[in-house]
Amino acid sequence: METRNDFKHLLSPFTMGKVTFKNRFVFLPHHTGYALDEGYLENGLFSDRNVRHYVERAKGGAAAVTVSQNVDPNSQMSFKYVLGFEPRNKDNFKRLADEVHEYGCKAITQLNQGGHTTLMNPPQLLVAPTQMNEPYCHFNTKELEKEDMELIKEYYVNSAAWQKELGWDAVELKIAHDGLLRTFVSPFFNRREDEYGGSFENRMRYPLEVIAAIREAVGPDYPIGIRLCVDEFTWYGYSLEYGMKIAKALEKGGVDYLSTDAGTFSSWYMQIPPSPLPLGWAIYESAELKKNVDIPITAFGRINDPVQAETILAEGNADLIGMCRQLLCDPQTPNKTMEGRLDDIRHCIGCNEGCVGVDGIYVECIQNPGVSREKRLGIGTLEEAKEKKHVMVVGAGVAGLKVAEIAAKRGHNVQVYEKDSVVGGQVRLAEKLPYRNELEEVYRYMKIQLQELGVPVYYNTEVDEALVMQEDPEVLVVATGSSPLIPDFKGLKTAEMAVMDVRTALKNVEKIGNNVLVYDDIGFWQGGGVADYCQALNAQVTVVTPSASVGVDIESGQAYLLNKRLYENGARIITNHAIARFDGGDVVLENVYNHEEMRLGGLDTVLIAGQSRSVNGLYKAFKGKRPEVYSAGDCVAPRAIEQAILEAEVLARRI
Amino acid sequence: MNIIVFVKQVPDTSEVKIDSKTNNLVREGVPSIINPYDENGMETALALRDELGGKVTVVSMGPMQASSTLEYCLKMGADEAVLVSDRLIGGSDTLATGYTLSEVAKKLGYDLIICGNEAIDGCTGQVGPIMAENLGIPQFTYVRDVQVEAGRLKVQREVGRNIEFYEAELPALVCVLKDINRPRKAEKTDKKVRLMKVADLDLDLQKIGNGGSPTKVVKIKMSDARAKSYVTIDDSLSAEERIRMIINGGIEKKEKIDLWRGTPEAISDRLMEYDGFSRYIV
Repeated sequence: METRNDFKHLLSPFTMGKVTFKNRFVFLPHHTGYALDEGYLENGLFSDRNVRHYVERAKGGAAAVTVSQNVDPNSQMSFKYVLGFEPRNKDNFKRLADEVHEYGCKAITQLNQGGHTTLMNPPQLLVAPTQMNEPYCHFNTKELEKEDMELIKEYYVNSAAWQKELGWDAVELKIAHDGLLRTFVSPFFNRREDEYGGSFENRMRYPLEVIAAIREAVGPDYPIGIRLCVDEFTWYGYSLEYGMKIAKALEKGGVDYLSTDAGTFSSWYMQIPPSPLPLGWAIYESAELKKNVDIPITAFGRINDPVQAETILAEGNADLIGMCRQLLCDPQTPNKTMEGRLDDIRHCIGCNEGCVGVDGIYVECIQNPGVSREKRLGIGTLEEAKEKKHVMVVGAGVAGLKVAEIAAKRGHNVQVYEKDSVVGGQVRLAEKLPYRNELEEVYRYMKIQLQELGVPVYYNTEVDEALVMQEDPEVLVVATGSSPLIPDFKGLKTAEMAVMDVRTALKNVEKIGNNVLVYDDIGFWQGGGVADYCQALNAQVTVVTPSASVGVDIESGQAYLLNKRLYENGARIITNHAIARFDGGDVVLENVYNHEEMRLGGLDTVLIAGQSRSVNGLYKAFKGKRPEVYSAGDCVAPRAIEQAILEAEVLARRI
Repeated sequence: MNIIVFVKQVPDTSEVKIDSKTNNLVREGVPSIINPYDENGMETALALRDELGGKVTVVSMGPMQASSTLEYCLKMGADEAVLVSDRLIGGSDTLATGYTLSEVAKKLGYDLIICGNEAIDGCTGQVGPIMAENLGIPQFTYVRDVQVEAGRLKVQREVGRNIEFYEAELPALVCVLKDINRPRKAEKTDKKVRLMKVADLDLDLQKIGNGGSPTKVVKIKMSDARAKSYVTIDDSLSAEERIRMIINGGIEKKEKIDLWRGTPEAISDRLMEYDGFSRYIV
């Protein structure tokens, strides 16, 4: 009597003009940072790493990959951003089209002109319809002259026509969260008084001219799509109603599909929505587009699961499913959907730590070390072990689990020992923080892998030297984590309040009082996240940090929303101050610049988010005494999930 | 104990088609299944019989093709199956159906009558209660548990966030929910469905079929407001408010909850003293 979900929409082909997508999974465009930058006029080069990045998603079963490019060499958002019309990109562009086609996948060109947005500091020349900076950055723009606009149009047309020749399948323009064309459409940014501004028709003129010129160059059957920001989510910007007006004008202008997008550089947490934004939050925008236009619509916004995707399609809210981060996290999502291996899908958790991060250097993924390392760690690179060994893994945190998973996949005989009654290690604490619950996926995925591989996990078993001797493994991997440190503050022993590290606090909620100071001395989630947690417990919270803001090492979208929550919920935030000493019932702070002191009283709890120290006794006991002894994760050096998983994977491939 | 289970055959789809002339459901081309609630009713009856002995008779009213549903019930383990099918009862609404079936129940004899809480095609949930009224016996809707102990019926009703506990004398009628149990699998059987006509019953012809049905369907149309799985955000709000609504899953402000912190022992002590808690202790 039960109906099986057979993904009849998600896995069905979709035809647009003369192009047929084999299913509905579309790899959305993004800046990878993989293009080569070797200096002046030697940048924006489409690299081998770029090609492999997209081919990996084609291998994984996606119907199309969209490659974001900059058309204008004078206005690049980054020197590591691919240039669309650069003769030296010919071979790799052609290679990309040929190789993704081998997997039945289509290659979509996405073209953009940086306009008033940049990822550089200082940037190249920024341009806009009217001289004005994008509020997120202080660099001003040049007001475009008509000659400039003609030249930029030419760049667009050349890129599109050239890539069509090289075998690509469709072209998409960005009237999206960044770039020039949206500024023309925007009543706020476009204050021109010539025929390109002043009225809706005039504001649409330049984008429509670019579209018409491309149409003339590529012919009637070649799909032209638009990535369209339908809601800017800024106080000054346009919202859904105006977005629909643009959509209708674009449909009339001969556009073949619209790919939903939202946010701007001033509301960047809506364009690459991190975990506080619910899964599939933007579906209402795609659904609104479906109601307003008849051309195909691509959905976006934290879609990370085939069941969710199928529902979106079955309800008629979109025609194609856009995934970027999910296909980074698990490129095989489409293939696994086809094979019905739903538990095996590794879901994107919207942490934004690897793909966006604070460095902005290049796209990675905390869960999938293969991202940006496709050549060495991508699909099909795992080799069977020549010699099958007995591997003993001590500790089932993320590092231990990853070593066990990869070693077992290579054919080793693996056993995992965990002193706790559950797997996951510190992630079990991190997932308690507000909007961080999806972190569970990190160990859930690996736990399922171990189950499928038949790797036993011995719970409630603290491994000592005797147990190692008894088991006598050929390989010993010690992943016993770290323990938190509390600095030897002056006056700590006589402090008249509870002082503890954040891990202890998260494990023992009852120890957290009603007036809490959180000392963010690490810049990551342990500080700001725990403050957020204490506020959720209705405690009065003060956050002190020696940095210029709370959570300096958290990805900026997450950090923005975290700070917003802290301030909105009434936290007292004291930046540029360190804890100097404890004085009875008071905590004395010190300004990091002028060393002026500040005294805080009335606190019942002080939570220290600081450094940790590796727990590596077992490793040291056996290192040099047994043939193969390794450590992994925090046991090597206490860091984040991304490093633990990457290094564990690399280690397990060596065994 | 004699148990009668009333079941209905329903179309197996959410894309139900409606005949625009007659305003009735188009059943052609749509696969038919046993109404899921009724399948749980069957399981409830079979479990009681297996425990206490007696007999389960399953009854359905409808066109001849409904006998396939009754055959399914026989395979589940019903002792007897009766199909009430007659041109004269075509077009019956819930009142006429309730009347007809209560006469069938009188004819067959019963200690307990079990219905599904509602059918997934009409969703009225009326036929069971109408039968109980006609028969003058106790009735329980939204039933999540049924036991018979020492000849007395013990029933749990699920009402909102509360569970109500009742006891009653037999005979009685219960309408069960879907999560009351997991229906067993159907197995092979050579038992046959027995056909019952209007002539076999002692019916007031004024009260059956189209003529006995005061309900008139004025119009049926597909709902525009079919439940969608997404939240829509009011575009007239400010950007900041829209973002907040999205993050909060469509509500303006998350409710501040009264949180208790303490050791497990301290919390359980407080919980026991909490005013109003005792009424949740069963």
